[in-house]
Amino acid sequence: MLILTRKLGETIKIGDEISVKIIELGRHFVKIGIEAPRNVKVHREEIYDRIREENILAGKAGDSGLSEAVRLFKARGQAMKKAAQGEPEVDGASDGPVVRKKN
Amino acid sequence: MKVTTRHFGDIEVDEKDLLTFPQGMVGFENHQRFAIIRKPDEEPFEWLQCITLPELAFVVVDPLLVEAAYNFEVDDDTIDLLQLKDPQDVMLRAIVTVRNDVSKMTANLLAPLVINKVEQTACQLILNDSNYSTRYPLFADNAATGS
Repeated sequence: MLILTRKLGETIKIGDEISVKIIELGRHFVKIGIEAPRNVKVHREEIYDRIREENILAGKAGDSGLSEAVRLFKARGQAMKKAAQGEPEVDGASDGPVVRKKN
Repeated sequence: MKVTTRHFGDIEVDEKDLLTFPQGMVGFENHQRFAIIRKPDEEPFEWLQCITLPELAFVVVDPLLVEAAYNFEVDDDTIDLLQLKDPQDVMLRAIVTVRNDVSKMTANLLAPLVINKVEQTACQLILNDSNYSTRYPLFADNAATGS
């Protein structure tokens, strides 16, 4: 492993296209700014690992339990429908992700 | 198109149910072609069957059915990657981790699948700055009451 010492505001270049800048130093953390090409994905390692593990688990799981889940889902849907009757519709309820259209 | 599936043997899949993940999925980067398989008796769940690796199949669900207030922003890189032109074209799915004990079943809300219905492109988006869990309980109220 290459170990370099950097001061606040200084940058490390990795190849031609990636730069890593020290933005802020705290007592127990470092804030880092990363510039990289779009095809280089940048993630916090522990988050990436967690998602990878979950994908592997989910991708190999059997289907036992699924029919029971279907039943529970339907029961819940009916309960919610019942609860919604007589209640005014909540305004501003979530309608999914925000997709910013490019100009 | 004929697809070999993990749970249903060889089945015919409509072209419109095929998806291309240009970057694969986390942990399965080399597999880019998937098919959505719907069985009426399994609604609202669907299968996302890998075409190049028959033993790889995910159960997925609309995350808004799991968490009605689910919300995140799709970044420009993803919009470009999926060739998204209109927010209406987006379809969302969360990967479900199926477990024998149904009260322990979870959905991955930290890394949702963003799908462009029109171009049939998709990716698994990692929500780097969100507090959503990779193991969001599908039946939270159920787990709480222990029923």
